[in-house]
Amino acid sequence: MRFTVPQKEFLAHLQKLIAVVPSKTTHPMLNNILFHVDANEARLTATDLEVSFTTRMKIEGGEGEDLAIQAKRLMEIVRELDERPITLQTDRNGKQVEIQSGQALFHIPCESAETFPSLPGIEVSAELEMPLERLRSHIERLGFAVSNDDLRPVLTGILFEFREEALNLVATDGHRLVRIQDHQLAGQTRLGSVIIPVKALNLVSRGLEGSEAPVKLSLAQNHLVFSQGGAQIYTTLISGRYPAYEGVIPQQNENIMQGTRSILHRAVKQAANCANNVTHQINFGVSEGKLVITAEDNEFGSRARNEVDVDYAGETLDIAFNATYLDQMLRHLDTEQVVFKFGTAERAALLLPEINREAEDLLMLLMPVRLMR
Amino acid sequence: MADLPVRRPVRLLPAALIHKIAAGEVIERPASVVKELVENSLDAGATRVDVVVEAGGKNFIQVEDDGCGMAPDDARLSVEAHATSKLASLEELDTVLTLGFRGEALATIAAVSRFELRTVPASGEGLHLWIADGRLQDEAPTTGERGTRIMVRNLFFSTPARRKFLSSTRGELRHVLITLRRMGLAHPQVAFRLVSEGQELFHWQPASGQVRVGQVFGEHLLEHLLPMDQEIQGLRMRGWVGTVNTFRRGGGDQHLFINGRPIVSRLVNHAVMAAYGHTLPREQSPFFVLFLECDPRRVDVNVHPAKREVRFDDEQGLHALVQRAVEHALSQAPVASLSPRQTPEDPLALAMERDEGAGRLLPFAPAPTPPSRQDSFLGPVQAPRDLPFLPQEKGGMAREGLREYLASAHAARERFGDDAAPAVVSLEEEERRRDGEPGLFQLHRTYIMAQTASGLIIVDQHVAHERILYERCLRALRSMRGNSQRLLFPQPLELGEEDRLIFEELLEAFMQMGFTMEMSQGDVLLTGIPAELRTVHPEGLIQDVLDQFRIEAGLLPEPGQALAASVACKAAIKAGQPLNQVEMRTLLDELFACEQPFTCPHGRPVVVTLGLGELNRRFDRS
Ligand SMILES: Nc1ncnc2c1ncn2[C@@H]1O[C@H](COP(=O)(O)OP(=O)(O)OP(=O)(O)O)[C@@H](O)[C@H]1O
Ligand SMILES: [Mg+2]
Repeated sequence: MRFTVPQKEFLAHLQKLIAVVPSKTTHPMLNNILFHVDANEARLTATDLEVSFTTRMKIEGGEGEDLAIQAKRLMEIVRELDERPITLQTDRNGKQVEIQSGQALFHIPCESAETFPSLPGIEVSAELEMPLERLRSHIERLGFAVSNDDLRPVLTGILFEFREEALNLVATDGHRLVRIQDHQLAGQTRLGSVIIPVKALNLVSRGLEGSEAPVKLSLAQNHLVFSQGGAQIYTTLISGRYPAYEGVIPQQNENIMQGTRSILHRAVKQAANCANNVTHQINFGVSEGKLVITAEDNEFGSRARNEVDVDYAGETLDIAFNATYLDQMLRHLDTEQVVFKFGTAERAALLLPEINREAEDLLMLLMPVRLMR
Repeated sequence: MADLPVRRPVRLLPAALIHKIAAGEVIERPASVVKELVENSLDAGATRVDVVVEAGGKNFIQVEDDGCGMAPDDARLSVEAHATSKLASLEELDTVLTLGFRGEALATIAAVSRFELRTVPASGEGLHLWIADGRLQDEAPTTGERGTRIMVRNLFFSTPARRKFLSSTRGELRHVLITLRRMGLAHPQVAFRLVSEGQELFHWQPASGQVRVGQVFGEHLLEHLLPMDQEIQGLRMRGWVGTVNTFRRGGGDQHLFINGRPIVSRLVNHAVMAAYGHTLPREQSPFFVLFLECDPRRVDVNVHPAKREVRFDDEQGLHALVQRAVEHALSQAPVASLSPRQTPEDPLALAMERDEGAGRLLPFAPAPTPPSRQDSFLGPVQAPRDLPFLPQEKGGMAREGLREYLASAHAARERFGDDAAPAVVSLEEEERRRDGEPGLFQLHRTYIMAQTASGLIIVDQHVAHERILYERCLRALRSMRGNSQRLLFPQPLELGEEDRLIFEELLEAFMQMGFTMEMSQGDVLLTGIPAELRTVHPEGLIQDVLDQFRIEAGLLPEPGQALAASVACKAAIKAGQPLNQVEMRTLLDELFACEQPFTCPHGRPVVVTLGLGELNRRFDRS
């Protein structure tokens, strides 16, 4: 194999692909990047068996067999080189690859591509295009609520529910939930409901280029492919039943509090500093026109109290939350004013932007901490 | 109707034989009554056995069967000591195949309860008799369908001291359940029914062995079992062994039978575990139901008063045979059952396996050990906030060693003049201020070694952390601050009957910790978990606690302690985890702050000391 490529370009590709390479794996082959070269283009693939990422890179003088090269080592070498073009070339017996840039010459081992897992051919059953920027903004506001515990695999992904009225996107870890209803993508029911691993979505969000070009989603049985330009992200879908989330979204939370997001956010973060550092519990005391935020850590002996002016005319209520969760939720809202809707101290509270973005509805839900008395 | 056993009249055993039979306490609790009565029913060829208990059997036990019944004379004799129809001579003792043979059970039960027996033989002419305090009170002829019904009221009413030793109703019911479960497994062709406080707990219809396993443990278990059936050297070994999904802490669900008799045998258990080899995580054991059948002369069943233990003629041989048979069964595991979460349909994964040429995967992938982040209870080891204090209670050598370690650590701190150090310090600061002290050494990522003024202490990192977490957790429990993070999706708890009873016993302690639940008609729905708990899988934790309690009920008298011990054991850092200096220091400091730093909640030692004197002696330095 042999090709020449500008350093900057090469590094950019490697840095994106390295996000897929598993940090720990029992299959050493997965530490590699697969190179497939044609005369003017190279296809680079990395996979962790769940998600694969293929990018296309412009090259010169490409020829020869496919090859697998250790991703991390290669990236470290390329990163330290200057901007001169780099030439990669296998040595005579095909066991090493030679990396050359100006006077600098490196040899690292490589492997034949045969044992690199090949992507199965897929039969696309449904397709859809959406603006990458829109998808990206959804992913950013949903990703934090996804569970990272493999014990309940379905919660480690984001639910994409293609309905007549909207595309519903849902993330939850069983304590909080975020739902975005995207009305621009209403009526795409052919795609059904799929649970997409958050790792693949983060890759879509960060690994694909630009914001204008739309990204194409192709569904095939248990797989989904995101493609844009030359890049393809291929992911297995999470199988299993997503919990019946709609039933837990309260409809009758009539105690409505509205306040300035930045002020509330700061008050929450401040109180959290004095909360127990395991439970992160802070208490909301809401009464007419006023929110009192308190926190304490008996073990450590710290306490906090703060008052915030809010619009509130509901019942007087004491309710407790995990401050870390609240912090994340407030951070991912971007309107100036936010709205809390409370039911009782035991029931889920809703957090909404005062005004929704165009053609979408955003809802965040947080389960309280129940106090023992 | 099944073939009835050939019936011999009940008669008194010759005196010589009486002495040969291990006498002793047969009846220790209601479950032992149930066991003896049901065994009699089975010996009588019953096809159905109905058991009714009240207050876990403490107030009332009834066992009814459709067996061969007894003629009136036999019935009178059956309640006399050493009256049996099953054994006539010493020679026969070697070959007993019936469950009973001592002629002791009915007499013993009748002596410690208000006893009522109603039996009708094939002739239709039966007898009803009443006994109290071991004396016949009344009798009357009776007729009806063939079979026997025995009622036992007020067990141990005449020996209040014994009665006091019985545990709660739920505890006793649990034992009854365990007993019937064993009998039910060994006799799948017999229908069993248990009614407690007027409520039917189960009704197992006659079934094949495998279906019965499903009836007893829930059908979902069947998919995780591998059948085995092998005969080697006259020993038939059949049953089911569990795959990775059945691995549990402790030895709750391991069921062993010899010639239809439920027994416990460390030897056989060990052989089974050995077959799993390293695929079995430490301290876990697989589910199994194992029936051994062999010439009765090769086992001695008469070594335990309740016939629970047996002796084999060739123990080593047996070990090897069982291990081999289980290994064979495991090697038959279909690929699909290899790993806990399978994605066999995943073409990528399949392609990968093929490419690896991996046909030889381990029979079982070890159970996934979730990273401690998820199940740490009350957080990770924290930097110390105070100087450790020394409890007053004396603790011998080891405590001396600790005192010295503390003294030197303290001295080093003072030398660096950080009296005014803030209560909470960053790890780097901590590292710096400890700089002058002799370093700690981690041995094989398992033990921490620390220098003391007169030698060396060695601390087991896992049990040390376990002790720390245990006390922290117990404190939290006792201070009743169990705030509860509500769950968005309430989780149903799927508990077997036995676990349900344990769960109910521990209910209050669970709630105190911050678990909240809703119960309706025996279903438990988890609605909240302790706010301190980081897990999306609280069911697993609860199951663990139940297992723990089952194993340690005797050792940890307070339910809360079992809870704390289980949480601690699960969340504690494991052997094999590398620790840096700060972490080791912190661990030791927190350990010394414990009330009982020298034993883990399960009684294992935490600290070993090695004095300079000892070292000098060993090096001939005098
Ligand atoms: N349910 C029953 N149906 C028919 N016969 C019974 C029944 N229960 C007891 N018997 C008769 O009563 C006798 C005495 O029973 P008992 O349980 O006291 O002794 P055993 O079963 O012979 O020996 P062991 O003490 O080992 O149980 C039995 O040998 C049997 O003949
Ligand atoms: Mg008997």
